[in-house]
Amino acid sequence: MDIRIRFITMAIVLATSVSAFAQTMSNPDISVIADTRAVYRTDETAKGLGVRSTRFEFAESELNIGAYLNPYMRADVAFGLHGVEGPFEIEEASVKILRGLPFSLQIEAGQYFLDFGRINQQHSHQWAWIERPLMHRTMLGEEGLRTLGANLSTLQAIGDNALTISVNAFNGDAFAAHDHDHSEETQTEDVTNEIAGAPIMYAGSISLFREMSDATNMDIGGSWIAGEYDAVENLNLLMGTANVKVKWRPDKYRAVDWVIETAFSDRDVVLEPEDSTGSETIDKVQATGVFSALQVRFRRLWDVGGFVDYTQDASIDGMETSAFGFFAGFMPAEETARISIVVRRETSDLVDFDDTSATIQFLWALGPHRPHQF
Amino acid sequence: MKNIIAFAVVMLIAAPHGAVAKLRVVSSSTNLASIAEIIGGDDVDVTSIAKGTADPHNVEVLPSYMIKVKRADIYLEVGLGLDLWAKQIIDGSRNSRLVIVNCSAGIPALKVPTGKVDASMGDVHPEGNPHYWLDPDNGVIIARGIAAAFIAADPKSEGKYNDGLQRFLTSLESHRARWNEKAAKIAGMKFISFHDTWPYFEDEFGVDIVAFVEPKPGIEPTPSHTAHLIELLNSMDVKVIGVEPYYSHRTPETIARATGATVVDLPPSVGGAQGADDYFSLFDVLLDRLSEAKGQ
Repeated sequence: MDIRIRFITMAIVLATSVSAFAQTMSNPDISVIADTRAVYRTDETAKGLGVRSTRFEFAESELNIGAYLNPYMRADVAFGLHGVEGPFEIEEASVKILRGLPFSLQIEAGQYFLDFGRINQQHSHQWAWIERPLMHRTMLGEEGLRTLGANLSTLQAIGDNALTISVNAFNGDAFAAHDHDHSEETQTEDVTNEIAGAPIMYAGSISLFREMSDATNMDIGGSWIAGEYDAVENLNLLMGTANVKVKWRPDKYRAVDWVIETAFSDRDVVLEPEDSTGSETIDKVQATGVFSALQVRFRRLWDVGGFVDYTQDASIDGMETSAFGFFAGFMPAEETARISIVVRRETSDLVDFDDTSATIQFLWALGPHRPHQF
Repeated sequence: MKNIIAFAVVMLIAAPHGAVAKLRVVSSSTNLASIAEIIGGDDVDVTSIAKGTADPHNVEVLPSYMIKVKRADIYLEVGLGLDLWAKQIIDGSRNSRLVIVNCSAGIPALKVPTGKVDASMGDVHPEGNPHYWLDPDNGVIIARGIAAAFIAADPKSEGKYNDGLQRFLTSLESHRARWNEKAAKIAGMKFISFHDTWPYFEDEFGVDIVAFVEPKPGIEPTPSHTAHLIELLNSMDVKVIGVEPYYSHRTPETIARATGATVVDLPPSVGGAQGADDYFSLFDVLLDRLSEAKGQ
């Protein structure tokens, strides 16, 4: 943990402060994005002990600070505050060598969202469907997969198409690092993992972007992760994903955006003994999941859409969770504010639990947040 | 046989050099691309990211644009906060030899806000209105900047680029005489436009833009502002509503129905309308359309 803190501190110093090495000419870009919600939940259970609730939630606020360090590099830091009281954490803190490397390479080092699939790389405020896909929650973690590591990527042309290939090396304990569980037991496990040496895992991705016409674009991608994710128990995993995004945007007033992502996971898990005389065993659990969303934008400021979401649990064999829902949104001015309503129905074998929720989300952004890439 | 082989070897060596010698230029807008094409002629290969019919304020960052910039020697930025998206495309291109030319350098910017600028004023550009190419005098400044960039990137062809610049300036002057004749017919003409696109054009050609369909820059029309515009048009006897090709006609047509005004498509960029095929013909199309609208 010390190493991570030291690294993050260094990244912040690089990105934001008056450098110890030279004078700075300007301040970095600073922006804040906040996500406030009013949520109605049924919290139904199979035994009919449903608890209905309506409450306001401060889902997340994100502070982004970013700047160029020199003509070749930039650093970006994203702090996340979950709820009003926290936890407050560094979601991303990385430095990127943008240009100057051979073979059109870029290198990013630090903490960042791994390019495993399309959706994991995005911040949650980019999603009209609000919630992280179920397969990501079970396979990557409740907050997605942020890794402390390094990414090497290249952009190549195949005709007029853009091919992006990347490889990552990162700490395997990333799979357990973002569950916001700060219990003594979890912390002890983290420390033990560090003493054992956080295992290095490897991931790769490939995506091909094609402009099909002046108005239509398509991106097809695939990615994988492999390696040991728990050095103490010697647990391994192999995961893969395939994704497609198609966007039709004939003008600034209309757009149709469709994304589908599927993932599989094959991981070792520790099974607790059935009685006190038994011992732990290691088993393999295989899981698959799929998420798809369709968003239709009209009259520039409005959008409607829906999503379907399904996953098998990545750690418990035979357990399934599924969800579907609809959303509608309004942006008074692009990229600065969004008001939306999301209705979601979720069913799970895992906790014998059905939940229908209706969420009104107020999302707003202050400052020069950079436009989102396709 | 030896001669044929020798010729083939020479051609193989010469051909790639010829291809490499061609400057590859990517620009944010078709207007800068058009000026660059006139100056560079056959010695440059020019591509624009934003199409003439697209809103240059809001361009999606696509990997295919990064590929175009990756192959480029020079990138022509509009600047003044119009094409902020270009930064991300340039970064994504990973091109370390790219020369970035901010074409707003030396432009006397109009409508530079004073005091504190914030989003309550809409999408205001702190450095001034960025639609500066719509004054041919600024076209001269842009052209000189582009020619200087071409010469710096390809000094061997300095003569050709100077000739290209001269060709542009001469052509501009010959067109200007005709534009002035056309402008005389619409001098003092009052109209409203959708967005605050035209202050440079207004200054140069003597038209008078009295209001905007947008209540504030970048903000969609509201019912109360539309009602105010209808009242204004009726009181001022303004009969023309100019709409850029990337904005909706819905509100302008509502205003037109209530006031008897005419909605006119006014392309602010090359390629934004039929006939606006280069930087010079863009002004012809604009002046002709306004003249025609005035006559109706």
